[in-house]
Amino acid sequence: MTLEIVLMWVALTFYAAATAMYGIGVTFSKDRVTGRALLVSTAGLAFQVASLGIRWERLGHGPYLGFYEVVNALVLCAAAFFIIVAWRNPRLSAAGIAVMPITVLLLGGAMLSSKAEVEITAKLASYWLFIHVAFANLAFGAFAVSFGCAVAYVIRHRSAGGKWVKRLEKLPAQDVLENLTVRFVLVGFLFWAIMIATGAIWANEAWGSYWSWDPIETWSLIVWLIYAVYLHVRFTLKWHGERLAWFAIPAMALALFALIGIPLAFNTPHAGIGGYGKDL
Amino acid sequence: MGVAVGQTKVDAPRSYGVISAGPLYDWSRVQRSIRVDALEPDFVSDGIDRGPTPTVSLLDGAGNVIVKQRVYPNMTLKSGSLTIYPVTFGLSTTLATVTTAGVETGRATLLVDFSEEATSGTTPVYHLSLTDKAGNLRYAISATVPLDRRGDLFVQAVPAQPTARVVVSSPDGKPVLIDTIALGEKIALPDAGGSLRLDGVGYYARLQVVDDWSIPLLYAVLFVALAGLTLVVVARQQIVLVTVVEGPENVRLVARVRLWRNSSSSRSEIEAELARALCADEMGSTT
Repeated sequence: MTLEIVLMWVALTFYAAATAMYGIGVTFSKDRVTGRALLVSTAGLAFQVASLGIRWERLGHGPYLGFYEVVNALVLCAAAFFIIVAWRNPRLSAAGIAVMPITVLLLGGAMLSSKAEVEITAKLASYWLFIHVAFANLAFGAFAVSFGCAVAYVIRHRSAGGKWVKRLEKLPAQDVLENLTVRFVLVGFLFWAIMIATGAIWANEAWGSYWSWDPIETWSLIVWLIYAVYLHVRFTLKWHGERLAWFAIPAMALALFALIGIPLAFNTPHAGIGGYGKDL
Repeated sequence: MGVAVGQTKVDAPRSYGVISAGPLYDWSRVQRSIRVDALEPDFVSDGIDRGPTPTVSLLDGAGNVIVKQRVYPNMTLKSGSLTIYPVTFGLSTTLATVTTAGVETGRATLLVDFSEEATSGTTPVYHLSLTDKAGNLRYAISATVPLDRRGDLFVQAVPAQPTARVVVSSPDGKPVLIDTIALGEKIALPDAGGSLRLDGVGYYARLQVVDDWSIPLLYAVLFVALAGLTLVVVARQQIVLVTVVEGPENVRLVARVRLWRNSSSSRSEIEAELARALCADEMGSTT
């Protein structure tokens, strides 16, 4: 087992420990445990960055190619977004109970998958690759945090007067949580739009057409439209509260499906980028 | 547009197999031609195999080269509103018609596509029509190139010993002659008093040619749209108007808040700030 893989297992262990600590800290109202969980998450992020850095140096390209790398990059962005937000606003740390399990599940899946080294092919050899994938990762990171805030909102809202109100009392007020959810959806929506736009420009260079109705293209557009509807109902129809939070939860799952589920389910030119053994 | 190596085709509707032009597109203004100078089946650049790579020249009406470059994915040929993208490649056969006296009377290039399903590994792209002096169809001629094999697969390249399998059909579509000839060899055409000679086997490049002046405009619109979206995300417009209304009995502080994003947390933040200011005022602060 190489140092790169060892470091990634260590990162996964830290993320799993952080998930458990968030669970314990929030369930038993142990604020110190919740606070330490953020430290553990940060340590996990550091190990993940180190592992991916070694791989980047060794292969000569960033984590864009193959299931292992693509999922790793998504986890990295989701964890980084959450950790930055939680360090800036420690009261939001408890939202890790929703965000960190996602990182553990995804990174665990990546660790159990093939870590095949996918070569840069002629159609991938473009600076657009970095830009396109970077914005996909950033968008997912933002959506993951919006998901965490929305889940925290719903849990506290649905247990009005119950145990969870006290357990989550350290979280910011509900209106602040809702506003954060909306803000991260806005940021993710912008990044997703840039991802689609840069992808179209790159597709014309690499495939000879801007839009081919490839399954990932189609589903990316669907996700973008769903988040557009989310923002529309929020700002135009003035939706608030629990139903708005519920909107953000499946939307993030759909974004995740578009990014890593579609290449598994469909034969798509993007599958080569996802590295599921198909050529471009 | 399929162009054999060394061949030049004018950028006109007749040169294209599949064409999609808008109703306002004016072909009469197009005075250029496209030439394929070479095709490298395995071009490697920066350590990356770029695949079959044609070298394409764009010529103006007078035949001067405007631009010439290798064309491969992520390296399309661009000149003004024109973009040339390499779609695929195949083989070409050059056939000459020769009289019984040995005089060459015509020459044509037939394009051949690779096909794993075909018995010889290639299929003809189109047929060549051979007519008499009166313009009546005498024969339809098609050609394929039997490929070399590597294991169970055909090698998609010009064979080491190139040959062409020529099929000559009568006007009613019935094959009247099928023969395989090597370079320089001839086959006699039935009842025609002449023969066909294989003069060459090479590559051809199928190119996608797009002439769209609106692309820079669309990119500009896209940029403005993304900039607008960024502004929406980043900007946080808040207008707070505070007026002191002095009445006969008391002094009232009237605050009017307009939040462009109608953000609840922004509202609470502003209310908190106002409350803090009022509290400070009550305590005699000049802040």
